Amino acid sequence: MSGTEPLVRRSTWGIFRFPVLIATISGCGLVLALLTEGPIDVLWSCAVAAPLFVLGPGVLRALFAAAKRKT
Amino acid sequence: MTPVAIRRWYVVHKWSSLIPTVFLIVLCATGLPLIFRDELQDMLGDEAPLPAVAADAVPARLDELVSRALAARPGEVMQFLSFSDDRPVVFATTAPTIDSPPERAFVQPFDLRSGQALAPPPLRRGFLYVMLRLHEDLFLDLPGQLFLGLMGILLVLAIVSGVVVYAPFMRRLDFGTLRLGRSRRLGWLDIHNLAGIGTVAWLSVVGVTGIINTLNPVIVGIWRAGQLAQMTAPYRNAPALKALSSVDGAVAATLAATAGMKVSFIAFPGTRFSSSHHYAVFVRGNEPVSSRLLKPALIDAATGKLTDIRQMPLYVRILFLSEPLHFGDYGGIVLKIVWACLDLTAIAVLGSGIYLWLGRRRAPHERRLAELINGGEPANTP
Repeated sequence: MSGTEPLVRRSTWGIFRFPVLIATISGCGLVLALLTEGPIDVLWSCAVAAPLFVLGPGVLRALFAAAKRKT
Repeated sequence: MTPVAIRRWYVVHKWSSLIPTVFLIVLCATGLPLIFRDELQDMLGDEAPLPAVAADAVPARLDELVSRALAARPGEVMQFLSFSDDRPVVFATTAPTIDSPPERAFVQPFDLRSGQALAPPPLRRGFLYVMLRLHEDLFLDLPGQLFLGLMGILLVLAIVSGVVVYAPFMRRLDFGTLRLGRSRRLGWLDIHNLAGIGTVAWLSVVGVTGIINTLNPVIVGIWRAGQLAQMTAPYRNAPALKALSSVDGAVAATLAATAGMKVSFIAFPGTRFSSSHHYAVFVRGNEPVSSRLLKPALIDAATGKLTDIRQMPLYVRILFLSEPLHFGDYGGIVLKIVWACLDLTAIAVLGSGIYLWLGRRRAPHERRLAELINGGEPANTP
């Protein structure tokens, strides 16, 4: 959004498809971890952590890019 | 969506977030140590290790433990026997009267393998107690609990309105856009939106189960007036008990009718979870879900015979399942760590929300709406 990119207007599905995917993975992980017991819970825990897998690398990448621009 | 609708949803999001923010930050901060309650109890020495027992030690009889617990507290009566989930320990709760509130009760733990009395757990003190009370009711008992439930309802409203206003904001942005190198406000705006939309499922589950947990006293009251009253109706006009039958007998009668289940706790006659003529023996299953659900068996405390056993109503089962889903303590240490990270993310969403509001609180409404519709860019962007 620097003003030079082509103007794109996304549809509602275009906006929400990734959030819905993350919420589905995370929500399924929450329920499956409750229904099962044992080492498989590690897998369900990783599913619950889906938002962190998006947010963590995103923040790191943006911070690196910002630092690079400053130098 | 029309500009008027966006404006309305924006106002809903602003106030439903701002009003409970301070309380939600307190809940997130106090909830963090509660996720690791078991680990912290071990670390703080709240649960002393069990002593070794001789190979020929005889398992304790519950009747004998009850007698010893009462002998140690002259003038008191037995209210409950509660069994530890993961250790061979039973907690005997005595109190001055049968209907004394929990704060007047005294708890004595016993080793079930040998009957040996153990050091009493720290009650109503310590770091975890303070965290739990702040998290449950802000030390204000029922009014505090219901107030936090109200804050939870506002949180759910903030989540719904946040999802609605996310759409116009992201109309021209890619998912995951983080513009940290531009202005500080834009960076925090993007983090607020991405963290908020990413944690929607988790935050909704924790919010809704939190609301259900605050309704605990109400739900228990409805169960007592409904199912428990039905189960004990034939005994409503029965004469007062002269003596109590064996507790071991009550447990044996219950387990005979509930194969494969184990006893979670026993409410003595006259307590709030029983009638004046019954032991209420609460059993639970061994499967991941059934181990969270209690089932009451009523034992006639005069004859020792089972009089009724039922599945609890759906609203009570929802309450039972709400607790693990709220605290995240049901999937091992990995899930607890994930829960803690999501909890910290929620704090970041709340904190960034306050920061964003403080930065624009004096700006005209139109300017704030233009920022939202333009994806955080200045209002003159087409």
